[in-house]
Formats: sequence, structure tokens, C-alpha cells
Amino acid sequence: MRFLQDQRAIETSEVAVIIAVVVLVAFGAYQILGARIAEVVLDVAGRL
Amino acid sequence: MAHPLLPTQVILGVALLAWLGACVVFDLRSRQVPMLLTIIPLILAAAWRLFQGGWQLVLLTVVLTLISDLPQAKWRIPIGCCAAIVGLSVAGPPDMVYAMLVIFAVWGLWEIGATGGADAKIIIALVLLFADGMLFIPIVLVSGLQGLAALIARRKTIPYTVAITLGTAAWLWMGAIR
Repeated sequence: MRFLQDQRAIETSEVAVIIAVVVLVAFGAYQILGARIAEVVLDVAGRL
Repeated sequence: MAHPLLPTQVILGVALLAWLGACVVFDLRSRQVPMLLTIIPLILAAAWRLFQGGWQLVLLTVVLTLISDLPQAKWRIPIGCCAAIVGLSVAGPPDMVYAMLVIFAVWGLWEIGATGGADAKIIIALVLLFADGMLFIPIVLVSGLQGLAALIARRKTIPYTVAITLGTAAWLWMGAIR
């Protein structure tokens, strides 16, 4: 099995920075807008 | 107010950090982690998750592992994506959803060659152990800082196990003081 046999332990520097920025922005947005998102989802679900 | 830690929690935390420390040593020496140090913890974590409830996470991990052996490389990510979507539909509570997203994201990063297989297996083992995708956030933040330092030093790759260990230690510490 290719996945289980892979022993490499490296990550590309650029990818590490990009993922950190994306996760930070997504987590920040969720913290700020989380309640609003839930409201919108419930509203849409209610209409359906 | 913080709850006092149970002796079993302290032992588990120490064992976890000792395992991750051993992975860091191998990573810094050769940029590889032996299969025994990744597969055995992955199997143990999967067994623990099955025992504790959370078969969805174990099933997704098994399915993604099988998908990575498909001969047609261009179909692996789309099929993996479908498997994750099906998994999310039966995930249940939010913690399980986050954990599933992290397992898929880490596998996807490995599949496109952005991260090593050892790193991916270690992170998936940790997510299976704790069934909490939030563990990924401190790991990602530490790896981001590490990546930034590497870019300044004009290095193309970073030893990811360092970020995994420091991120996990920070996550355990935050859990202990909560």
C-alpha cells in the first residue's frame, strides 16, 4: 500500500505557509461569522 | 476552573510526546520516519477510535488508503473527495466533521506531494486518537512559522514532525489548562 509505505517526512515550505494562512483566515471568519452562518443555514433549511 | 489531570492522562500525554519526539529525531537525521513508528500508532489509534465510537473516521482512513493505490492518478483526488463527502453525510457531531475534514485534507496534501507520508500518517493517527480536528490548527500555525523561516533561509522543505510535535504539545497544554 503506497500510503502506508511512504516514509518521507518533509513538507514544502510554501505549502506550509499557504495552509497556515488559509486555516487562519477560515478559522477567524468562522469565529466572527459562525453564528450568522448557522442562522442562514437554519433559515434556508426552514424554507426548504 | 481547570480540572486536575488524571494519572492516565499524564501517562498518555508523556507517551504521546515520547513517540513524537522519536519521530522528530528520525526526521531530523534522515528526513524519514520508519514505518514501524507510523503504522503501529496508526493501527492502535484506529482500534482506539473503533472502541470509543467513531467508525466513520476509521472507515474514511481505510478507504482513502485504498484509493491511493488506484492506478489512475488523476482519479484519486476526485474519488477521495467523493468518499469524504459521503463520510461527512454520516459524520454526526461537529467534532467528527472537523476530524474528517482534517483526515481528507492531510491525505490530499500527501496525494499531491505537498507533504510526506510519514507526516500524514502521524497527523491522521493523532486525529483518530482524539477525534478532534481542532488539533490540526496549532500544528498548521507552527508549520506556517516554520515554513516562513525556511523561506527566509531559502530552504524548499521543512521537517514537519517538529511542527506536529510542538503543535500537539501546545494543544495538550491548552486542554490541560482549560
